[in-house]
Amino acid sequence: MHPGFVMFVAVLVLLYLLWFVHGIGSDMTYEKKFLATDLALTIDSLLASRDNVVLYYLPQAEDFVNVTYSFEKNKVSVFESSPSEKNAGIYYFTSDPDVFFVNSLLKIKSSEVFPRFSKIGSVLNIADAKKEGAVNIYSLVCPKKTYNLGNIVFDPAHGFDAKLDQGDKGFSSGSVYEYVLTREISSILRMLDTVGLISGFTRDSDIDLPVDVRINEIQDSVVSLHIGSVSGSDIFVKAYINYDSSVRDASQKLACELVNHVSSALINAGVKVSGVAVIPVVLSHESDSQFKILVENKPAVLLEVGNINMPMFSQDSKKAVASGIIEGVRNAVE
Amino acid sequence: MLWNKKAQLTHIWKWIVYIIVTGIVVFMITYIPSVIIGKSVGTQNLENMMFSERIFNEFSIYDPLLFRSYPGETCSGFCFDEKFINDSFDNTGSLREVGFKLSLGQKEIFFNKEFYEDAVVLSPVRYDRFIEERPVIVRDKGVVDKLVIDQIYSGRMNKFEE
Repeated sequence: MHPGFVMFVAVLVLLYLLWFVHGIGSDMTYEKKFLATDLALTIDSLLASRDNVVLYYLPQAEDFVNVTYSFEKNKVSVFESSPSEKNAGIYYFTSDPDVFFVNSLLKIKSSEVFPRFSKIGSVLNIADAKKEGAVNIYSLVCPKKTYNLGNIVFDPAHGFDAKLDQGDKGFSSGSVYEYVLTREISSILRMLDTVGLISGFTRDSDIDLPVDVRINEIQDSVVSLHIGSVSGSDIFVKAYINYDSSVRDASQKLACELVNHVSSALINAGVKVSGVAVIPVVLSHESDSQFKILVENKPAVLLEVGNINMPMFSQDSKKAVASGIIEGVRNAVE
Repeated sequence: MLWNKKAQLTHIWKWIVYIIVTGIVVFMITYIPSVIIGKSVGTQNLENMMFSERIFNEFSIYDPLLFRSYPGETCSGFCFDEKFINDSFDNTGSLREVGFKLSLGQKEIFFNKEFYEDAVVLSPVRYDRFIEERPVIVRDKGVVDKLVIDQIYSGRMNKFEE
């Protein structure tokens, strides 16, 4: 064989090798495969948790601008122009029929995107954390059933008449009083409730109104608003229900929706909520007379919001509490 | 030019060897990088460890009154049945086939039973297997028992390409 021909073939093979290596180095095959695998594993790990999870994914580098992440039922695709492109990254995960995606397509158009995965209850959301609002990781999974709560009475708890120097001020911190805050939030709620979800209010001014009198105001169901007081900086949203109530399920549904929506509204208003809870109480074990509002034969919730010792009750946060209560009631009723 | 038959035959043999060697070199150049990429994004049995965790959590008792789950506690009745597991996992459309057998005491339940029974006899040659045991409290019986999670999966096949 002519040495020149052998050299020619060798050079041809070498050129092919160089072209191939260049192709590997310049395209994003590896990165796309890696991302697809990692994202599918991320979803698998989110689905493994029974609790709520929020996970901030790695901020994307300049090279990943114009990469699209597509999340289908059991598949993650990472591609530049189309899912069917050659060398698109594809990987599989095993989904949960009870959990559904809110966003199934995430386009990275800038290296400033900060992908955030959140599994809150049965909703799996993949979004740009810089664009979308805060996530309420404390949200509870409420029962799906709704109830006919009839005429709902709103009770801004406590009540103090400054002129007569008579009544119950509730908690206080400096010049901030619980009976004033509950009445102010109640006034905002009255204005925001344009569809008339709330049928009546136990009071609309600062008067002495003992709990035994307020109980008589209850029509078909009641939401009683209190402000919490804890030492330290924790801000909780708690709802108490009567464990022995004959309509406990309805109370629980209402309580769950209230804590979810009030805490979400507070978080969106910039308040750092520390946790939420729905607490069943046995009235005979409670010494605080305020729990009497949790009557046994009607849906009743004692909602305790925030911490009076923290400077959290701005006009915005009061409005957030009021709108959260309206949304909570709206989601609880048929 | 004189025709030398023996020299011509040697020449042809050399050609054949050259062509075969060139083919092998080109094939290796193309194949080796994709093997390296495939290996470096391989997940080993990470997914199976997550499945074990997921199964373990799914079977945990959940208190709807307090909105609280109790990991490590289960019951032998409705908490541990085939309907429950089939309502919690969906693998349709995935090329990564998976099936598992869960044993708690004498009770056995399956996810994707058909695949599991076909594949278990072919492991570890054709399919991979991952077995994990965890102690759980069976609340209705008041005993600690062993939850065995036996997974069969097509880990090495068709991971990326459809």
